[in-house]
Amino acid sequence: MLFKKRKQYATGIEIGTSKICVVIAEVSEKCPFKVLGVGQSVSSGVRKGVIFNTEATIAEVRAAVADAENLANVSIGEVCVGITGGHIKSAFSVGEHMLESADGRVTEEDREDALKNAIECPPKEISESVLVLHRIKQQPLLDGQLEEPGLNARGRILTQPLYWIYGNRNQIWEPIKILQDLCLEPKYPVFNGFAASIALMDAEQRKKGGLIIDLGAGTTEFAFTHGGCIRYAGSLSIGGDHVSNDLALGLKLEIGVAENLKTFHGRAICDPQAKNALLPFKTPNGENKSVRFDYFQIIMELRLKEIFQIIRETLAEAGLQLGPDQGVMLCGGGACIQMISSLASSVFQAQSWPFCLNHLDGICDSLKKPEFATPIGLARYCASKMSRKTGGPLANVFSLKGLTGKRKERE
Amino acid sequence: MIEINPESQVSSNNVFEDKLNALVLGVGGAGAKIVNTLSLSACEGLEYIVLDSDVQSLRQVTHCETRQIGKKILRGFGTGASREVAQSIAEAEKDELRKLVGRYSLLYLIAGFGGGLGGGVAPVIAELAAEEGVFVIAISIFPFFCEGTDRSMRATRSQDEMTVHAHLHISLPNELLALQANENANFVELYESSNRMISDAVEGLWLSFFCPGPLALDLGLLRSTFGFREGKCVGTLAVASATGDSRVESLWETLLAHPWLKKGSLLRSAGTVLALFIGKDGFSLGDAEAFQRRIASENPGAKIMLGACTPAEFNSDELRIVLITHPRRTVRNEEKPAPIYGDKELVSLNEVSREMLEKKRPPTRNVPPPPALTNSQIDLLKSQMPYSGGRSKRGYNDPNQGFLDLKITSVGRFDQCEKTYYKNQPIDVPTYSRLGYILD
Repeated sequence: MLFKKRKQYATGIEIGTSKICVVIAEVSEKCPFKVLGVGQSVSSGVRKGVIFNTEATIAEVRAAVADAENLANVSIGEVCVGITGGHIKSAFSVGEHMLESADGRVTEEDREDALKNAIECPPKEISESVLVLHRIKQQPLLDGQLEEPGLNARGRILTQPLYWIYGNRNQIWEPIKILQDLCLEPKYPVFNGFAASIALMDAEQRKKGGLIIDLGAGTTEFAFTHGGCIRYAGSLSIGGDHVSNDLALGLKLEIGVAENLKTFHGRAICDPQAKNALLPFKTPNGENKSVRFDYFQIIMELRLKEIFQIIRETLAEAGLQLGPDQGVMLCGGGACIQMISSLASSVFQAQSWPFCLNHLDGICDSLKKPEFATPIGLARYCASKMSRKTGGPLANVFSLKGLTGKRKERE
Repeated sequence: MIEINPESQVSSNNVFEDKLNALVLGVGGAGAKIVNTLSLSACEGLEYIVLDSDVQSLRQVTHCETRQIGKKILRGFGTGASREVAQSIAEAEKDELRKLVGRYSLLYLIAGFGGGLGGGVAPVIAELAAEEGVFVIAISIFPFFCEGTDRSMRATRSQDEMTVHAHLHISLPNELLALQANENANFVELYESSNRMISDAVEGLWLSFFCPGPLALDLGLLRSTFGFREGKCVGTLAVASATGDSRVESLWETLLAHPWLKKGSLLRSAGTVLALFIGKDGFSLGDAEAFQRRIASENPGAKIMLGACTPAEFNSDELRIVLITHPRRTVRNEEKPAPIYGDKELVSLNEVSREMLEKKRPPTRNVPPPPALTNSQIDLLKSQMPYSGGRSKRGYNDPNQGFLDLKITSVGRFDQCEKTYYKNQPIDVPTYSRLGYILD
């Protein structure tokens, strides 16, 4: 049986720079994935995606979990926690295997051997100080050519590329320890960009390929998919907080005022009609003030454009570029900024896919918002792991057993 | 020994009614050796006494009277280069010292500074003597460079104290002798030449008071010229001898090349010049006028005092000059000009040492000068500045203000965070600022 008879609850927890979000979903035979409740709290102990104040974060996570449990009326156990920060890096490794069958056809054992070879030859960046989050199988190559999807292909050497996503060991363990202190079972640490791609891309989009960008407050994660798997992923320590900071410094505003103006009047592309216009606002003291609206928009556009340009340059250095039928999808709090999709489209020279979670069942309309994309993706990842017969990576303290053996559902 | 004509007494303008007597007092080891040498050619009316605490040093003085100081405290040893110990000994034996020097009308106080006893006791003796109405001429020897900075600093402090109390303080740096001497010259030769010059000077000064001569120079005149208390400085002296017809020119050339006059620079900068001519017949008024003109040409603003005496024992052909220069009268609080270093003007050891003591720590030499910009460069930089026009209170609009390449920009809320860089660019700095956007 695919699922156990009793209900299981998959939980995704995202510990972000501006907020902590907990999503509890039910995993059962009738409905593989149904969101029962969402809990949120303000995050004050995280900067640029990295926890610096453990005590404050523990209290805030506890509050968010309590909210979610109260709403879902369940008590959670296994948890999938989102990992982010500028320390997240990625690298490739390649495993090669000489085909052993006499007719030169590729067998299942050949694929497993090639994968095993790729796992046993990690990139040189993998050391004691890093922790591997994901090892994502790429499309295998047969004699240097992309292998046909079916079996029974013929050749001599099967090459299996493997894409590793890893990060600083201490910084990855920090949120896990916090959840362990709260008597939760953080079994699956997942890169936030990975989770966002799970939530946002359906099978067709994933196969076609595209770029997912999660514009958060402290960090921006991105994941480039092609051929049904993630080809490149990364995290930048730049986010919406930088936009607010730029506004505060450029327009001499308090950071809270800048944050509010960005939320209500933020715009990613300058409006030509805003030249010399004034944007009125009220200070916390009750004073009526105003700022130049065109300057406001210029500052925002420059920063947001820079973020997209950095992502584009990073992908270009990896030899990747969005094709004509590939698109960009934005999520996170930054996706709510006006004209942000147009800006991304102009920078990446590709179509912009609108944010959509309609392909996922069990999510009410109120949760189909960009800021919930990552925690929903985390919960979904947790649900997919729980649906398998063997446990996830955390069950064996990050051993390699989970990735070998039977052919797994493509991630 | 030179006989003094009893008829050639000092003029009736002398302040003192009693018989004029003078004491040559050598204090400390250096003073003992010098006075021991001076006493070999003793002058009538001059008494020679050596004062020291070191018994060994006193035993080497064979030609004059010796006095031991600090017998109970030091028990026959030296002060160990401690001025404070020497001063305390002098303070303890103040009454005996006052009695020693108080009965004279003129005191030649000779000491080497930099050690212990000479620099510590001599200024106290000068003070006691001045209180008793004695005219004090102090001759201090400044140590060599190679004797170390500690010694030089001690010597400078002693020199300052002596200048306060002595009426005429002459400082003779040994280093100036060394500069002129041969590299292979040893200390004995240097000291001998120095002692000879000091002996001639002491003798010449004393003779000018006793011996008749065409130009009188009495103690009263010295007192009125050098006896003021405020703005006293350290002078120097030079002794030269010449014979022949062009002896005045020879004397002048010798003086201009004299090490203690720093090759004439101290003569040119002097406020008061005292020239004592010692010779037999043949020193004419024309010689005096010629010499006076030469001094005036070198130093038009100097006060020139000429004296001449004709002792009987002198060669008829020899003309000796004792030149004492005294700097211009300055108030003690005035800042002295910085010494000039270079080949042309030798720097006084005394001035260097004082400057070393008073000099403030110089600023770092690693700060480069601001770049010189052309007008077009200034305009270009102004256009690139993030602030313009209304931000004048920050001084950004000053066209003459230099512009550093390194700009320290606040990153607001990320000041306390770990900084984020992309391709060596600080990403936390606002984008508009890094791209040079100007916001009015």
